[in-house]
Amino acid sequence: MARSPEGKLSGFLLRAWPLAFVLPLVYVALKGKLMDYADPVIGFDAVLCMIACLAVTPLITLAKMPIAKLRWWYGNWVFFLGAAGLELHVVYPPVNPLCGMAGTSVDWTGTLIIALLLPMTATSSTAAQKLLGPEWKRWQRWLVWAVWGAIGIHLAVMMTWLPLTAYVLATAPAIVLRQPAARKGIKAWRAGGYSTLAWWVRLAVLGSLAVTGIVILLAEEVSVIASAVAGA
Amino acid sequence: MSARGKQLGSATLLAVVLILLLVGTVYLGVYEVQCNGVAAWLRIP
Repeated sequence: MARSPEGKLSGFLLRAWPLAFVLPLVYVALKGKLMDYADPVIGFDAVLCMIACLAVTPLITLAKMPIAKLRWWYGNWVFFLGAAGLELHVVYPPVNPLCGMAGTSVDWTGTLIIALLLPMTATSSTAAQKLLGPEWKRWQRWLVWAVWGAIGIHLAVMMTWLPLTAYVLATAPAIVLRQPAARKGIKAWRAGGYSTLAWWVRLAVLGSLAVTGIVILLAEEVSVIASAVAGA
Repeated sequence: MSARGKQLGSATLLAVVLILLLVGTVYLGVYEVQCNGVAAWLRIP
């Protein structure tokens, strides 16, 4: 198991930042307007966690940062945020619990994401990793891309094109940097003391795309939270 | 049972659980489409 990032406070902040986005929902719930705002607040938070989860491996490849444990945290955050959203739909359904889970294509793709995340989260422990051996990595790798695709479809059926574009922009660099040829090139670049200009240019382009996507999603999240607090 | 056998057995069990979850999810979706109609389910105005 990989080491945690150095420093107790920075380590806590790196692991717990997704909580900051959902805490305002407590105030909104106390005002009785939870279901008006829960979906977008929890949804954007989960998407940001997914992006963070996918960014961990490329960052390790790039700078050998000791942050592998953060992948576990962000993956579990995606599951627990999604499960919380699904639970709200079951507890406060528009008609009945089944309708809350699959009444529209948006609800159904949300349930599909949780169905895919459930075995991932259940087998995210070190014990499961030991039990499954080399199959564990294969499972996690395939399922994480299935979840990535399902989130994309979830955003597409919502017809929210800006968040969908931002999601693709933010995750495309992680996909590119995970390709074997790119990983090999980056490892050689790192071993050579980051001296090749071409890789700096490539990473600047990919980094700009990712930052653009993340900033758009963060802006959407902050905007939704502001509306929720103001409207409650 | 060998270590490899245990790994493959656990992976198979996991695959069965995943398939059951997916079948249940698809069944739910089909049930709701039949109840509400495709256009309403897809939220087509």
